[in-house]
Amino acid sequence: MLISPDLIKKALDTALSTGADFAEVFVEESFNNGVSLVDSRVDSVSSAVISGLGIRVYSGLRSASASTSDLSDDAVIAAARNVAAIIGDGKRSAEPFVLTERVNTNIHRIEIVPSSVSSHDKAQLVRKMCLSAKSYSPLISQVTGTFLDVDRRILVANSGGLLTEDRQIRCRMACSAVASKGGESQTGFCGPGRRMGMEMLEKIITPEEIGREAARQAVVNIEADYIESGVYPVAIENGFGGVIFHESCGHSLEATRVAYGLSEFAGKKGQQIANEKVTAVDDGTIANAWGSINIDDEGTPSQKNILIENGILKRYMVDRFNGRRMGEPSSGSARRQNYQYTPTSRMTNTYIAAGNDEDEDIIASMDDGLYCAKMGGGSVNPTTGEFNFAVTEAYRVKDGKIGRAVRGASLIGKGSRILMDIDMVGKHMLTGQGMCGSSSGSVPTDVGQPLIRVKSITVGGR
Amino acid sequence: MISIDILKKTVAEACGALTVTDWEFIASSGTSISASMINDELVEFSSSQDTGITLRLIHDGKEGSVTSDRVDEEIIPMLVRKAYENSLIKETDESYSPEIFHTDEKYPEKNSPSSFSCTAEEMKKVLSATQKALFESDERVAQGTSSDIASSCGESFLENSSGLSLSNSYSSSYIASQVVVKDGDDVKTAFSAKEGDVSSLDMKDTVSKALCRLHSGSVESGVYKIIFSPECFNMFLSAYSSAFSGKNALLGLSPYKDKVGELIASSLVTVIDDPLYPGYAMQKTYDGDARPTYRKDVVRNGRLETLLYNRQWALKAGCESTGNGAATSAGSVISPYSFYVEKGNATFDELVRECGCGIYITAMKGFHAGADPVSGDFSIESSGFMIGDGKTGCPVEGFTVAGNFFQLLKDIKGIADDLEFDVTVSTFRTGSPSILVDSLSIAGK
Repeated sequence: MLISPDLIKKALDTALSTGADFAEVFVEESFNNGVSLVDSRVDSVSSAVISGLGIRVYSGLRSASASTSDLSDDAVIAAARNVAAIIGDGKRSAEPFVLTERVNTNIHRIEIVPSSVSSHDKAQLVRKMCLSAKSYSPLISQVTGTFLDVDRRILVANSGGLLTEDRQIRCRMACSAVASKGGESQTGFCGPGRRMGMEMLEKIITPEEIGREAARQAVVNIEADYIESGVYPVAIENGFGGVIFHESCGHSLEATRVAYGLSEFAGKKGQQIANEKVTAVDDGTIANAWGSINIDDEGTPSQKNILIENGILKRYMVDRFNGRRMGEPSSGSARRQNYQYTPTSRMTNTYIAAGNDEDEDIIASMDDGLYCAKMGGGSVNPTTGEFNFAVTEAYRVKDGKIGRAVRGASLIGKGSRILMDIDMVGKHMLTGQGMCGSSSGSVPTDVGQPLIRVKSITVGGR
Repeated sequence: MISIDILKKTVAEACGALTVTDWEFIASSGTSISASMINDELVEFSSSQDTGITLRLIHDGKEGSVTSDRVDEEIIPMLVRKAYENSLIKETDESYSPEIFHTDEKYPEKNSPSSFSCTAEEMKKVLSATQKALFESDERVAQGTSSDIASSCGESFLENSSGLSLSNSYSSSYIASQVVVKDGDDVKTAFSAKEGDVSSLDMKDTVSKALCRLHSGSVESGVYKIIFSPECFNMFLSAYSSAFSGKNALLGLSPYKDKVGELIASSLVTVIDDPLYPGYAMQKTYDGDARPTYRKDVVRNGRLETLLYNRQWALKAGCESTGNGAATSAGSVISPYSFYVEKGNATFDELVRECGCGIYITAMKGFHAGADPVSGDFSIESSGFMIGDGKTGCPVEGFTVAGNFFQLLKDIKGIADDLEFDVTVSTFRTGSPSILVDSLSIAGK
């Protein structure tokens, strides 16, 4: 155990001593390592230890939390006293409890634990990736590559008697390539990640393939013209294209906002909020997926949550605290970057499920439109639903055929509108990996979808 | 955290066990408290006790580093071993030999006043008063309006095997409010924040910012003159400050390689990097390489005066460090401090008159994805107000503004006198006045 059960019990009892009705302890010890190469030379080697404890109490709809990087008995009990002093000034009201350890099902097989591979060997893998990118085209002027691995151990205990632990191992390799021509530069990026060990680079994608993909994008963009701005029908490709749902709708379905009515989708459960072709899912239980969790950061087992089914809003993503206000149980969605953050509802692996349209039919349906082959990140104001995201590889579509490459596009709109305007959904769902930022910090999430068509959206450009 | 003397002894012993004699660490400790109120409910109260150490050592002419937020005698040998292992992977670099720095020169002194700090009880009172004032200022202020307040203080110590001992302390507070206003089905939000005296946030101004966005119209696509508010131009500076990194220039990740002395911006533009900006709580007197910091013109009247360097990349470029090293788990990286555009002479109203017809952009979102720091291209979701006949007019939203930042710097036609910094508790922040730019592409209806 990361700290002794006796100390955890003492901390929980101390936290409950002034009248809180629930108390929770979260302990973490993470080892994060990274190797970066620039110009085929090792540029940096990083190692970071993240270690500490967060403690939280509820009293009705109020909450107090404290964190400490000092795991000594005195520091832990001081943190517990701190939250007790903030949350109340009365006597204990919570029932006595006994901590009972639960061992969780682990569906994430790790074949090669990253810490068992030397940093030298990891650097060699990054070098292979960079050389692959550099040799893709003489237009590639610069390549940077990184391999990151995380080994995160967490412990969650609460006054409901829960005591449980999890170990989360993740790897990610990323390549950024720059293509230059005539004094101009354009970039390409590929950064796959998984909740698995180093076997990711054999079973999922090789370093050479990652390098080539980043270089290919950069070369496409340096040869592309700027997009003419306007309002177009748009086909968005599978994989990281799923960021459109993540930004335009996903954040607005998190209890963090919904509990306070701060979402355009608050109070709309059971109503049609999307085109009937849209079924959207948040599933933290996919084996070895980047955003998967055996348990969330409140100790609740992860679930497959159907958010939207054939256009009808079915459920929100809910953490324990905000669930109190909403009258809903946790959906296993509580996440935090580390022990210093207060957990709240977040996405895991979120995607639009496969539909029935053929990819060829989606492209053929557009007389004058845009095919977005690769997407960058985006952001949203969940209260108003206004979202934006960047397109990193795009092509004009004329008379139902994909034509010349264009660059510099961004897509903007309102979530409620775009969900209704997704009028074609392809059959081949694929995911892409990203880091999602919100009030509880940065957490790994998958986004995904098949090829979809949005019948009309504002495309920013020149 | 254990005492600095014990920490020094423990690090030296752990290094000695590996025959390492050159080492340096920056150890820090801090406390913070924060509270959040939504409507009239105090929903969250948080406190933290944080420690951290960044440790760097040199072995066989190569350096390795590591960070940890656990700082005790037990973990130090493991951290030293990890930094040692990391040093082994570094390749020999003929243009850079790492060193553990020492100087008898005097370091600059902080000139920030003792910052406002507050207790938990004071926080509750300020939050209640803030929320009450927000709701009372207009009947259209809606449920979901929230305020956050935070206060933090801490200190850090740099110690190294050359006998250098430096320290730095800070205390800072901020308050931020997110106002939601509703009129019929139209919902708008506005955000205001203030660092320092948390009781002085102007509630009426925050509410006005949200109200004036109600019933926004759309914009015809085209090419317009644009005025960026300080808040918006700060986002540009934040997204593109990496272009002024000496490392990125050497690596071809910025257009400014070999451009020192050349005009890269309108002659109206002066950009300054100041680690000791008067009054700022997060001033730094020494950098992550233990070098003294100093104020410098990065761009003066449109001419590039210097790029920003830590010691490593200054040596590679054949120049002096600008004291812009920041210690991280990956070693020293280049980072600006208070990085800002110097204010001009015009008032905001004069700038609008000079613009004549165009768009005043007051809110932008999505820089992390929509702005490419290498190519300079950007396409960003925006909202603001039309400008006609030299006056600001009706609100507009749902459009993007697109262009290239490096060209935009050359197209600046006017700079107002209303310099504002973004509100943060970070060493790096950006500052800008309102800025008039000639001809940018707008995609609207």
